[in-house]
Amino acid sequence: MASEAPILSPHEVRILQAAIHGNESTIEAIAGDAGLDPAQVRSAIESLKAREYVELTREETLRRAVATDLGRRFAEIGTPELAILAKVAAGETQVAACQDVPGHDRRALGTAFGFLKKEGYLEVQNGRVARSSRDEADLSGAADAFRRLGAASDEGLDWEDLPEFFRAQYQPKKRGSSDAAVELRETVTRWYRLTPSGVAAASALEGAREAPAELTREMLRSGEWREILATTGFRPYKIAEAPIPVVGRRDPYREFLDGVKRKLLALGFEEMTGSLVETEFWDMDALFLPQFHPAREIHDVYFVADGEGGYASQSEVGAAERASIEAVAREHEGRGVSDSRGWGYEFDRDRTRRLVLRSQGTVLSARWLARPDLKNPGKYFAMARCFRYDTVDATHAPDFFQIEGIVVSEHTSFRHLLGLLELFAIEIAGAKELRFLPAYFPFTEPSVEIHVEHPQLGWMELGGAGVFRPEVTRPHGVETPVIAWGLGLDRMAMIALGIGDIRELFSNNVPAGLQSLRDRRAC
Amino acid sequence: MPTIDVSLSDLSGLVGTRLAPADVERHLTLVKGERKRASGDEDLRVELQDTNRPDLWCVEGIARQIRFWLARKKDWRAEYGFFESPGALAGTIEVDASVESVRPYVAGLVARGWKVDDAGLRAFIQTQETLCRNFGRKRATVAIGVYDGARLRFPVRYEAVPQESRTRAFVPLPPTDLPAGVAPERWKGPWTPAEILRDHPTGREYAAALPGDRAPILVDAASVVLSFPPIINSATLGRVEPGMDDLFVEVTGTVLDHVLLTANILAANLRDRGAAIHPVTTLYPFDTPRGREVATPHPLPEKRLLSVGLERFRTVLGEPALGADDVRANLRAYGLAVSDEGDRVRVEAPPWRSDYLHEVDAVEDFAISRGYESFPARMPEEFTVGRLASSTDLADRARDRLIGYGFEEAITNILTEERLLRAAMNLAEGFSGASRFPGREMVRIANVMNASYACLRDWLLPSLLEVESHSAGAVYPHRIFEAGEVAVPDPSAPLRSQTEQRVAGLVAHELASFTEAQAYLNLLLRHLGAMDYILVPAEHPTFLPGRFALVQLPGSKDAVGVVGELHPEVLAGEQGFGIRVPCSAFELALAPFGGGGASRRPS
Repeated sequence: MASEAPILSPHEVRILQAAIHGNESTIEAIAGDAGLDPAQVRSAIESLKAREYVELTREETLRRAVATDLGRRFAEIGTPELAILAKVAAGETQVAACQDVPGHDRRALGTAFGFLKKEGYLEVQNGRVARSSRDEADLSGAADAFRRLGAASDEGLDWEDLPEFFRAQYQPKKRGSSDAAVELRETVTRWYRLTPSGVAAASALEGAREAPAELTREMLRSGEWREILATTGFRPYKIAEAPIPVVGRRDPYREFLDGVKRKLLALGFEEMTGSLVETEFWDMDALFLPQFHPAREIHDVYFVADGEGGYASQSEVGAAERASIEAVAREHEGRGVSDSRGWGYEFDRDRTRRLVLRSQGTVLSARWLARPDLKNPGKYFAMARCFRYDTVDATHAPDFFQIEGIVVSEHTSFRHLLGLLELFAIEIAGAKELRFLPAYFPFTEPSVEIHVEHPQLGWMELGGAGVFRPEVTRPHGVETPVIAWGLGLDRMAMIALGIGDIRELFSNNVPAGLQSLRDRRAC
Repeated sequence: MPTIDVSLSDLSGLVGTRLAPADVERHLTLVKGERKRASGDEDLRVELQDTNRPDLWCVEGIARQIRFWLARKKDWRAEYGFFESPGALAGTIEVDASVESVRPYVAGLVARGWKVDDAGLRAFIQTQETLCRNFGRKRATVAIGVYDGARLRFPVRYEAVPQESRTRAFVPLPPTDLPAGVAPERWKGPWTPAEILRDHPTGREYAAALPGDRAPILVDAASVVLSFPPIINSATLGRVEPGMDDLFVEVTGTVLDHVLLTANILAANLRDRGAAIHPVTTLYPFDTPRGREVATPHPLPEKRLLSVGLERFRTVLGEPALGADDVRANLRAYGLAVSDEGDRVRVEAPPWRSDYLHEVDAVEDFAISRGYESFPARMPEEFTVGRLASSTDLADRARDRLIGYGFEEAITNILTEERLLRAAMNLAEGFSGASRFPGREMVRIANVMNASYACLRDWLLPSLLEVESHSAGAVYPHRIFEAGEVAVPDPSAPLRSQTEQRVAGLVAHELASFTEAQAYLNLLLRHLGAMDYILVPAEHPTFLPGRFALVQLPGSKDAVGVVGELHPEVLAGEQGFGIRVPCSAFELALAPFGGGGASRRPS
């Protein structure tokens, strides 16, 4: 819609219309004329000023008097001066007794007594106090002023409107002085008027009906909408500024992972889950990682703190698990059923019970191989949270997901593994180009890495895989081939989420919290 | 995984043919080498993946594997016969009983006839460093020394002396950059082993490789010190320079077979450079796994001979029609010695390898030699049912519900710090949780690297509050949730803890109240199929008194969840999260709602 003037908000329109007479007005006056709150006018005025429709003509500082706590007390029980005069009027003649009025501070009464004497309201002769003839109108006026202040709102009263005597007597000497009965607050009043272009804009509006904002039921019922559309139309929206509603939504990273999960389900994989805490046996020994392997040292794996928590309970190790441990121990020592030469060292059975934080998702595959209900053929996957002993930085999160699994089948092989990886490349990474490279993992042979050409990242490693070594499968009585695979999807997730720091995959490390999550593009 | 620098011209020279940069990628697959991004066309940086093949962690090893493959038919025996038919002994090393408890094993060999050049020397030093660091555990289990063989007199003696002893004090090789703290003339005089460990930069760097208070020393027949293994060579005999053509190489260590394997790798490398290898025998006064008299290079026969059935190749690789000729030809092209044994193939790897544990290891060598690209992918042929674990299914149902209620999902780290789980939640030290929200203890890490990651979370709400604490800039209301795992210690469990799937929700805005959290929790519980839960008012320091309840299911006093209005101490207190709006929250363990979930699911 072509338009000569910028679109004005309804508040701005009302202000222009209210101020078209060209006289200067205050915010409050405009608010009254336009039927708006002063706060609404204040914000709209700034916008009109920026458009040079309105200019500031002058400003005036006003002083407002507000009763302090002391002033409020005076409003309630009167001033000390009047209290003393009342006592005297009631017949009191003793100097000391005159200065004893409940509710008033003793020192204030002393000061008031001195003032009354000095100003000639009282006479003291031979220790006896007497009322003079001086009129007490000023004093009553002051007390009355306190009553008005006490009844006034937080805004107080215009200082200049208060009696002269009151102002001379109670003007606070110091800011925030504790014995002051009145506090002075300065407020600035500004006057505005329309500029010539403001007048022009207002004239343009003159006579024009304000375009209604909403289509109402009433308009539909009465048919008024026809007339509106023929004349003013409905107020157009500032389309770019539509607010984003707060709605329920998935976490973007979780959404990415959900997508992968769906793909794996569609490919016929069944999910494996397990404990965050594992034994060294399942995490490493069962995967044929020799106990002297450097990757098993304290600089690579988190160990659970000592005490009874440091080792798996021996009494709770079932017969089946004990048999697994023995069978695996024999593989390491070269006496196992797989006919492997083994690593040729003495296997430490105590170490199998040591507890670690799950360092790799493959631990679940190892556990599944030992299950009596392992399916054959069977396809399994896990999205397991894992922990590595690493400095946490932009490329290492404190914990991370590993996505991996196995295929158990009489009819599976290295070539089937390549086929499966190809499916992953197409289905999960959306890759058109891929290649297979020889790789090394202690628990697979042959081992392979799949590299794919990602639309944004270029060539990247999508994952590692291989045929489980017989030393890994045979101890659990699994005679059929098992192929194992793992996918590294964090970099893909980071691209999908538009982030450069891996820690920010997790919501607790996102700098602007919920706002960042809301701003993230959907995967 | 070691990464080494390789110059293409040196590699080409060793292979015997000029390699084009474009060919390198294919050739590197033979050694599981990945060309790193920092590589140029001439100066390559290569990462070697196979931690079981230290023979490939050097330019000579890489070149050898490529050379075999290009030649196709020459197995390793053709060029490296000296492993099995050693020539005349070059000398002996006499071991003193004193080293047995310090660093018992030593192996040596003499390489003559190769005039040391810059490229070869640089490569040798890099190999020495790579092997000692990655295979020798920073010299602790294997260390290498090389010496001017022309000036050294056999027999060499290997003994251990007290580190403070002056009897074997010697002039060590100075470091490349002389440290400021040592007077220049000091480098010309003799040092005791203790002084080296204390004042010499190399001594300080590797002191950890040598436990105990004794120092192994190699000394020749004329009492000239060769070195103080595994720390440093002497400046007298242990300085090798271009132009020399007679080298003595020794390897010391704590595992005999690792020492011998290292010596074999170095022997093959020096052979590749053009040297003739002359054996050296070590005489031990104590028993070793290979007797008291051990010659180097050693044939190490045990872990390199495999008899592999053809059927093994066929089933593992998925090629039922694979022929024996194909297998033999490609194994040979990988440098392996191959012979027939009926329907089996006898494969013999060279003595610089010790990774033949199982038949499958030869199967992989075959596959690599033929090239992975020569194996057409086969798609899965069997039907299997895809299925989520019941805990995930349950969590997903809870997630769907909460998103429907307008909650925004969070996913947070499980590894965290105790402060967030306890003090920030207004729980005093020694808080004895009556419920599992949280319990008394948590799973802690023994080898903490960073105090911020010292334990596993045992409830979810601290994670949500952490997210909320960063979210003041987001338009309110905030309704956040997470479905995730926590670890709850349980001394009677086999793993001493239980991993629980939970869901927690947090409501944060001006008017957030107990009632609102309770309302969402009620809805969720009903949607999870629990119609008869009970909310029991209770007290909990994390929540405002009078505004907290435990969720119980009939028949059990154990709470399955909590709901409450968060205590201001948690939001804005000194230890709290710095949150400036009222919050209410709930947390629920999901497992109790899993059993027969489908049938209990409301329609």
